[in-house]
Amino acid sequence: MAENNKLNDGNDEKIKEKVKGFIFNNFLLGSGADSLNGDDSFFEKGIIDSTGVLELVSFIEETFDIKVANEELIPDNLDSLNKIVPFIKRKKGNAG
Amino acid sequence: MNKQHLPKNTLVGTGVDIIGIKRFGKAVEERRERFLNRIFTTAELSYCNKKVDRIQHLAARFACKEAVSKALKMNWNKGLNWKDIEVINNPSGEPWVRLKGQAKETANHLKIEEISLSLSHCQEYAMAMAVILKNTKNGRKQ
Repeated sequence: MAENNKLNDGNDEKIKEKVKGFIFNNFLLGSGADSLNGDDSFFEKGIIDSTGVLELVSFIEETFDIKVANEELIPDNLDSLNKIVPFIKRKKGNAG
Repeated sequence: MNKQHLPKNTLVGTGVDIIGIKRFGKAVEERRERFLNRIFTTAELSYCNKKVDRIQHLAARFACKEAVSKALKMNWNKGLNWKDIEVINNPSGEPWVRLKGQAKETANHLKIEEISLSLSHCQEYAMAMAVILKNTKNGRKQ
């Protein structure tokens, strides 16, 4: 179900937990990793590959009811939890 | 004939990629059109949808796109558009690539003459290799 609530600071953690849960379940399960920090780079740590980018973006689009353009598939928007959260918030803000 | 006057192709880059079929198939099943339409052109989907095991063929094409982008040394700082690298089969079945957008700009900048593709797939994996050549006169880079 899409996130339709007004996004505020309280929702930052809610967004982060949803994305973190997806990353853990799809990319880290069975890897032995037991933590993921907000600034951890998905690519530098080898957490996400090219297929993973596609899976992550599809998840974000569906979960938060936003549309991500190919031009927005850049490290500044997607390479860590702390980059994804503000990106989603910006997209939700622009969607209205 | 003096070989010194013959054009010579110079290697620009190589790229290889491997895709797990099971994982790729799961992503297609769960994300469906949204997932497929971001990666593949209408022609690519039409070609693969005719196959008995379309997931293997889709995964092989995705591996091709990744292999070509690696060979062109493209990074994702300007965004990722997988449709800019379209994998097509000629009448004999040989795969070749048609570039558009940023991929074409990169190829033009590098004066690419030829992109050779080879792909293979089985139940578990699909893989592809791309070899990119540029034409140089007398064997010297232009």
